[in-house]
Order: sequence, then structure tokens, then C-alpha cells
Amino acid sequence: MAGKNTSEISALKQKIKRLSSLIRISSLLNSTLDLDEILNIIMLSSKKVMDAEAATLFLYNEKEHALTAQIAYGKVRHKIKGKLTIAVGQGIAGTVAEQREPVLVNDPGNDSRFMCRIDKKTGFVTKSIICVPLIYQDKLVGVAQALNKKSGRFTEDDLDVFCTFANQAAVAIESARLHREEMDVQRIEQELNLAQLIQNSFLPHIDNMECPEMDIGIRKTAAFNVSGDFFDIFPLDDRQIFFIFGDVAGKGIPAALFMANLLSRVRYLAFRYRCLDQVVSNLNQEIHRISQRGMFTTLVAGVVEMDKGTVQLVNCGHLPVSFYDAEKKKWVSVIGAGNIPIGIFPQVDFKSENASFRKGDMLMIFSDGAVEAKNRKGHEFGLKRINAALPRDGVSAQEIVDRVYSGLKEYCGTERFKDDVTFFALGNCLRPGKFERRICSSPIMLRELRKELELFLERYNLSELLISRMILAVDEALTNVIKYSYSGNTTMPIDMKVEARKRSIEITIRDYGIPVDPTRLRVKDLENVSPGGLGLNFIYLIMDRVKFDPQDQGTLLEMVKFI
Amino acid sequence: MEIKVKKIKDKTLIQVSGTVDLYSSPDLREEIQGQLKAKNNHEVVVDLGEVDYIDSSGIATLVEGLQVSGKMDKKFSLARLNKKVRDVFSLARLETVFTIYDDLARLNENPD
Repeated sequence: MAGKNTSEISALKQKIKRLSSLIRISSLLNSTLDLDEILNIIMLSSKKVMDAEAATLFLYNEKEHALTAQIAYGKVRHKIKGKLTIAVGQGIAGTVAEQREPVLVNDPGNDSRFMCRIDKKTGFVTKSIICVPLIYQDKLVGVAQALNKKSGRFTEDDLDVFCTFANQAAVAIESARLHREEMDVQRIEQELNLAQLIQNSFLPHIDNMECPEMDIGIRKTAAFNVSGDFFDIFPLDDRQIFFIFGDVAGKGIPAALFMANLLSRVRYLAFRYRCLDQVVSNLNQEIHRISQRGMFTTLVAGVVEMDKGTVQLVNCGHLPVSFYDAEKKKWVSVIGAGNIPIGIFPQVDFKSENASFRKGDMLMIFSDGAVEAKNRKGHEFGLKRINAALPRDGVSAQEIVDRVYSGLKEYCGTERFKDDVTFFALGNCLRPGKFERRICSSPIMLRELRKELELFLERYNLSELLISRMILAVDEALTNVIKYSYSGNTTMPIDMKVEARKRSIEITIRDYGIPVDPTRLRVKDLENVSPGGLGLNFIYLIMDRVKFDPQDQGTLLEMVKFI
Repeated sequence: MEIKVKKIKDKTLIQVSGTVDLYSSPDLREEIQGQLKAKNNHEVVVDLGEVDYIDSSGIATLVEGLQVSGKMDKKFSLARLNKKVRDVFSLARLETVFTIYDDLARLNENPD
């Protein structure tokens, strides 16, 4: 009795020890999400709990339908870890994986499933094996095995414990795997965000542009974090501005990397050759040399000649450019000499074209992503809609691209587009400046003032006609002040301010005489030939915006001419 | 503004140079009105070829001359509108209202 009691007590003690080991392992497994750490805990514990000489953990590789020894403990672990692969169905571990049933073998020599070649290869002598499948939600995760019980043979009890242990291990491995996948996704996302920052640093920062006579507007959205659309603009010298806009075939990281490479070459070539045709043909050769798998690039490049008021344009397979003629107040589509995209053939004779590009004129270039963006019905936004969305009054380049973009957004009902969408507007604008005078209300003052105003306006490369018309409008306004507000009194003050903004000239004239009543101003009927009253007509005909603002004393006249 | 007056055949030529604006147009007006009233003058021609600036007061002076000449049954015409002056006339839509001689040589031609 006593003997039996003693052995039962010792067996119970053993069970308690094992159970507490299992609980400890279970809490250890839940304490980490690191897959390698978990696998180590599992194997080290199983060796200990099972009182085994060695232990191996195989992970199931679904693609190869095989088991790979991920972790091994024991004397020959270095010969097994990562090196041992067993096909499902082969050997004891393979059979366990196939049948998803645990196996206990105390005499492997006599078991047909046993593969003695592994023992031969490693020098390990297998005396007993306990092998269990790791299953999570009906999915095979792997197989765990304990080898050679130090204190004799493996029992059914051992098998139960090992199975419980295997269940917990399977859960821990799967959640660690999921965690790793999630971490991978997060890491890629972080890297993409970083890539976007880096890519944006390649693109010019328009606030730092060294050319105050260029008005630039940019609006871009990448289909993925990074984009294959690119642009750059920089002065070649005081009077020449180089710009380029393009679209690398493809999108995402490959296109973005390619674009970064391309942009750095553009700057180098532009300063080396200072000639549009040569820059483009050299760029084509270099891009052809490095481009992989027929990756080509469409682009529009140009050089603005500030003094001549012209632009030289080359279009390599890109969409037409929208061109704003400020004098005609009209947008037109211009190709700018059609060529094939760059990067396709090594030797191409690219043709460029010269166009007038005077003050107030504007170019708007965009990527095909903008044209091909579709609404919910599957209809493309299209060139026509882009051109229809272009504003005609003298708004800034940024406002132009913003307005077209909001038109696109509204049409598509989304801001997530399938392709990169970029709008780039470039205007020949005025360098900000101001001209201020206080004169007395004498007709003799007018001539001198007109001369000064002419000198001021001539600094802006405006057309002769525009300058003489604006001078006429100012003169007429001053004439009216002298004749009507001051009733011919020649000693009263008039304050005049002329301000050049990017795309407009704004003129204010302030007098302190009899306030004008805007409701009583009459524009002359030009069909009726008679002297007098013409001045106000001239003002309205010449200026784009005219506002008479009566003050407590006198009138503030505001006139705007869009350039 | 400077004014010179010449006789070419039966025509009186008023040659204006410089600027015609609020300050100077009263002088031009006086000259035009005076020549129109002179007995032997059947046609008064204002030559604007050397005018570098004209504003609505100058235009009004010329329109008034045209109106007065009509009442007096005389002819009133302009000569040599340069680019700047022509633009102001076109703004006022008065290009077709006046008889305009493109060059002074044509003043020598006999009417009809």
C-alpha cells in the first residue's frame, strides 16, 4: 500500500509539475509577439517538460507542401536547424502532418515510417519519438517532436501533455505570424510615406523660386504614395527660364525612382548645354540607356525668353498644352511640335517650336491621369472639360490649377484617382512693383505724370498698345477729377497709386472734392457722335474692373487691368 | 503742343504736334473754330501725324469741329492718323466718321 501510495504520489507530483510548467509556458507564450522568441520558448520548454534529449519544431510551408526544421534543441541541433526539410507524408513527422494525428513510437527501428537516414546524417540515435501536429483553426501550422525520453519510454500521458502544449504553441505561432505580417504592412506604409517625402524634396519648391516674373501653380495627387509625374523649373540665367513636365510610364515606386534619376539629369544637362534641343536629345539618349523593360517617358519642356516674350517648346509624346493668350483672353490647345516619347530610340531628332509668350500669357500642362480620370458612370473627364474649366480672367497660376482640379474632383466624385494626376501652370507675370504720386489738380501736371507712368509701365515688357491705353485711362480719370470733382480748381490734391501685381495692374485715384454718385454715371452712347463724355467710356473700355467708391470727402476710384 | 497753319490749294491745313490733352486742347479748339469761321476757308484739314498723345478732350475738340463745319456747310477732315492716335479713334468708334487723308500729298489733288 505504502509503495503504491508513494508511487502514486510521485506520479501526481510529476503531473502537477508538468501542469504548472504548461501554465508557465502558456503565460510565456502570451507575453511576446516575436515569432523567433516564441519558437525558442516552445522548444526549450517542450524538451524540459517532456524530459527529452532533443526536440525539433517543424513549420509547415504551404507552397512546397513540406516541413522545415525551424528550431532544434539537443546535441546535433546545428545539423538540423533550417537544414532539414521533410515532405508531407514522409517519415514520422511527415505522417503526423499529413494525418494530423499525434504519434508515439518507442521503437523507431521497427517502424516503417521512421527515416533512419536522418540519424545517419546527424549521428543522433533515435530511441523514442513523440510527435504532434500544431493546428490552428483547422490549419496545419507545423509539427513538434520530442526525442529520447531521458527516464525511459514515452507514455500516453506524455502524449496528452504534449498535445495540450502543441495546441497552445499553434495559437502563439499563428498570432505572432499575423502580427509580423501586420508589422510588415505597417513598415511598408511607413517607408512609402518616407519615400513620398523624399520624392517631394526633388520637386521644386515654388516659394523659393528665384524668378519673380514667373507665376507658377501646381496641383498633384499620386495614385499611390509616390508618383511618376514630375516637373521642374529653374532660371538658366537672369532672362531665361527652363521648365520641364513629364510622366514616366507606370506608377508607384519604380516610376518614382526613375523620375528622381531623370530630374537630376535634367538640371545637369540644362546647365551644360543651355539649349533646349540638345538637352532633350541628350536626355533621350541617357534615358534610353538606363531604362528597363521599355520604360518610356512623355514630356513637355521649354525655355522662356523673358526679354523676347517668347517660349521655345518641345513636346515628346505628351498631351497638348493649354495656352492662354492674354490679349485675346482665350485658351487654346497647342501641341508644341509633336515628337515621340523619350527613352524609346537612342537617336531621335527632336523638333521644338517657338511661340509668343508675353506678359499675362499662361501655359497649363497636365498628366494623362487628369484626362483619363473617370466618373462613376465610367466617362472620362477629357481634354474638353479641362479646357472648359480654365478661367479667363487674370487669376493666378495657382488659382487656375486649383479651379481645374476642383472641376475634376467634382466630376469624378472622388479624390482617389487610378493614375497620378498633376496640373502645372506657368505664367509670364509682372514683377511686383508700385508707383505712387500726389499731384495738384492742374491740367498742366498731366503731361509729366503720363511720362512718369509710361516709364514705370515700360519696365514690365507690356505691349505698346496696352501701355498707351492704360495711360489714356488714367489721364481720363484725372481729367474728370479736375473738371468735375474740383470744378476746375487747380490747387487741390489728387493721390494716385499704380500697383503691378502678378497678373494685373491695379490703379487707385483718390480725390477730396465732390463725391461721385455712381448711380448717376452715364456711359456715352458711342453711336451718337457728339463731343464730351467720352472719357468715362474710355475708362470702361480699357480697364477690366472699374469701381467708383464715394467717400465722406471725395471719391476713391479703383481700376484693374488684367494682364 | 505746337500748331502750324498752312494753305494747300483751297484747303487750310492745321498741323498739330506734341500732346493734345485737357491742358492743350483749348488752344486747338480755338484754332479750329477760328479757321472754320474764316471766310475763304472751304475745307479745314487737321494733320495729326506728329501727335504723340491725344485724349478724349482732343477727340471732343475734333468732333466739335466736324459739327460746326456741317452747320457752316464747310468741309472738315483729318490727315495722317498714326498708330497711337488711330487706336484712340477706334476706342471711340470714330474712325469712319471723319474723312481721313493718309498722306499730305493727296491734299494737292483736285477734288474729283
